[in-house]
Amino acid sequence: MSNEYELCTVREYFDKKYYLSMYPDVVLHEVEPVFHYCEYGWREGRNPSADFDTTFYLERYDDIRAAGINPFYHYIVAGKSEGRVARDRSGALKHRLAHARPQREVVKDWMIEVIPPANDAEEKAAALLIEGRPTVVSVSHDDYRVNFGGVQNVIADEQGELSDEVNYIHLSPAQPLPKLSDEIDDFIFSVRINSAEAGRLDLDQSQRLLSRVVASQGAPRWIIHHLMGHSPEILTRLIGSQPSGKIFFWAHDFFAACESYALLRNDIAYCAGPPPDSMACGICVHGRERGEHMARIRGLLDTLSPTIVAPSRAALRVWERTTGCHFESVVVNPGELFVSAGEPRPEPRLPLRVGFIGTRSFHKGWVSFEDLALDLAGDRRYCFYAFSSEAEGAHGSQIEHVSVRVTPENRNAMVDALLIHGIDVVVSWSIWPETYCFTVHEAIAAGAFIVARFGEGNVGDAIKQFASDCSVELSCDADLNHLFKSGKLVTIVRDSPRRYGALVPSMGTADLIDTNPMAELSEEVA
Amino acid sequence: MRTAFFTSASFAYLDRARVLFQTLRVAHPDWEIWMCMVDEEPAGFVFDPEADGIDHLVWARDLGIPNFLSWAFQHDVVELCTAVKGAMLCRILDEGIGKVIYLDPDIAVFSPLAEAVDLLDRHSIVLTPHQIDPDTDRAAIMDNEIGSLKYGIFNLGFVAVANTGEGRRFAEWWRDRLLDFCFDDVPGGLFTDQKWCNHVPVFFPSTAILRHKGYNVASWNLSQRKLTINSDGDILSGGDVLRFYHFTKVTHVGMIMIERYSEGETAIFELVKWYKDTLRRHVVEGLPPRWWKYGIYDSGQPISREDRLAHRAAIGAKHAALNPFASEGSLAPA
Repeated sequence: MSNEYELCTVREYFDKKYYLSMYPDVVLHEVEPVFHYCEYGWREGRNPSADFDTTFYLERYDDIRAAGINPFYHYIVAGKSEGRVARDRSGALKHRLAHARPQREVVKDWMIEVIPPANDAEEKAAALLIEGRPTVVSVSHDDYRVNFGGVQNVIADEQGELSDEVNYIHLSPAQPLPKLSDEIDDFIFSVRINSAEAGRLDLDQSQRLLSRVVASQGAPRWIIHHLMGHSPEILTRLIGSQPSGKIFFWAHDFFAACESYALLRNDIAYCAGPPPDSMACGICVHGRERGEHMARIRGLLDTLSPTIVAPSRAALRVWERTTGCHFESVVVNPGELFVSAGEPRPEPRLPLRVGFIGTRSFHKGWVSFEDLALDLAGDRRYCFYAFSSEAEGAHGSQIEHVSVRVTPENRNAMVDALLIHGIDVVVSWSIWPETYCFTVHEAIAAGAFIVARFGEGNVGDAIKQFASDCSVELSCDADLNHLFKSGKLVTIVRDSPRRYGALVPSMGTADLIDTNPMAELSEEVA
Repeated sequence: MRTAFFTSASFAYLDRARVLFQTLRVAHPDWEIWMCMVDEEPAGFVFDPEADGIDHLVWARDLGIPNFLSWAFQHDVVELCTAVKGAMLCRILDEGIGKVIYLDPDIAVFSPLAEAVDLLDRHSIVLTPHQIDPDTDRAAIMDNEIGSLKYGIFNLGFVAVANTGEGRRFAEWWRDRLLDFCFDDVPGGLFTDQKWCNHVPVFFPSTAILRHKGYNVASWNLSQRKLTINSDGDILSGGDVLRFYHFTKVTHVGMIMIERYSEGETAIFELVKWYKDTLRRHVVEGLPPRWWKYGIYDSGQPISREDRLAHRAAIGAKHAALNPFASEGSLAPA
């Protein structure tokens, strides 16, 4: 039983907001959260604040574990002055590394029951086709109408832009997977036609549907957005079974170079896509599969010779280098294109408002941002914000969570939120080279100063193009911490000529299709 | 010219040895793989050296060591696995093999050991020191430099020997010392086979000290050899391409040591994860837990350190039992 003195001591440092957000079940106990921690929480491995790791402390310090005392209480009254460490700075990284597995082992967590297609599935699907229109068939890893994300947005926009002109058939694997499918004989596609659900079709049915399309409307144009979950051999066979128009292959990420589409070695470090027989691939959980993975996709690319579509020049650069493929290529902007023309922003006042935008994922650099905020707790020069979807929820007292939902109807929601909260600085800290970084464009449009991790992706290009005098690129977490702790950031933000901007939507592949009218395509094939 | 590699281990370390064999085979497909098995098969367990890629298996009991059981009894598992190394080296050199390389079973090879092989064209013996560069941090000095003063300047997880006159003289000298004095007795000036080799550069002048930072990388030299991975996918140790890593103590305690010197680099943690994952794929099926034939009496009772010391004293007094394993139990005076 914890005593009153222990409770009072811990209460002063206890982060109630953090505790309740991390452990919502505590409410059910109907006791004061700090009491819950002292009585049960620490024994259950729960943390009293974002900057104290109960499990780490007990594992690191055998004497405290053996003594059976509340580790947070010990840290406050003795551990801190003894130089003991409250949390493992690389704990999140180690946790991620410990759980890194080849996608082949992850597959079992993805398995769902796939009901075989009905005999009349092809007829029902064909009924959704609109007579007299050319056809675009797009391929991606999941149902873009059900799932939310960058690739899905691009497909939805593309379908929307083309909805008055073409029949838009979308094929995704009925059994989504985090890797290529091993199927080489048959395959079940989940189909949408003109955004409506068109059920599931097997390979034969898909081929017959395509042959109807070709017979009545000419050869379809293909847009391969993503191969995850697909079998390149099946897809090659399907596309090759009928005459086809121009084929586009999107480099939304680097899945063509590795099943780790962000090129994260062991899920923790950007690897730059070295040769598959390199020492680095030899020690990576994704390395063993890489040679075969690349060869299968290369087989599809060599057979189809598609036009490679990249969302940025940086993306194309990295894609070509890591895949070793050089086809005809084109660069488009998948979403917003930044136009700089706004008013100057007023000089910032302390504390500087520092934001992180988007999903709090490891590869987006969330852990570094969180560490930074924890290290600077109590520093009156800065306050920290995280802008993300409501689902992410609050995260302790050091970082204020702002719920934002960017929708097709309100593409400026993030820019608006940054402006409303007067965000001065955005930390854009992705560890992989993002092929197109929406968030950095949103930050620039909001007139924020950008602190970015040096890298070869779109972030670097974007800030060079639009915010060269309102940004700084750094190479590691230590440099990031130094920039803040030294106070240098405050000076350079004050001296930077920040301006408000605007975002202008673009149409993804639909742009390309507009410049190459479908009629012309149909003629080519005829 | 034939080149051979060997290691020595008990069955409990066979998973590690398998990883070593596999990685070595990739780096040097033409080398003969020899192994000294310092153990006996438990009932119902069948060892298939061929399946493990071993070209030549030598059981420790067949090394021709006089009164083997009595001799073996004085050693714990680390002592005995190292005590056979000299005799095994002599055995391989006797086959007329030109170059012989020893690696500890808890090593994994990452790229060809070209520098070591080349040195054997000009030198008879090649050794790798625990540290190449002095430390400056006091804690690192205590961990590493003082550690080497206690346990030996050179790490005998690696030694390479050419089949020259001096190479054979070294092998025979080392064999003889290990047959008599291969004990973990740091206060008494001994540390198994390793500390003896402090003498080697003096006794055998054609010894080469290999300073390439990619050799024998381990917790004891990480302070001076930052592990990094470059964009070409090379794993570098202090700037040199990693040749082999010595996965000593990748347990909790060892990891704290590794962490101390990782300086925020992830490569070392990735390497350890790879090793642990790979070990799991090479687990020795069917081996009873904690099995070591020479760690128990025939009755199954464990042999205590006191029993070993008592037997060692009996050997010194020349009244030791020829097969102490067959005795009923404790040999130590009550």
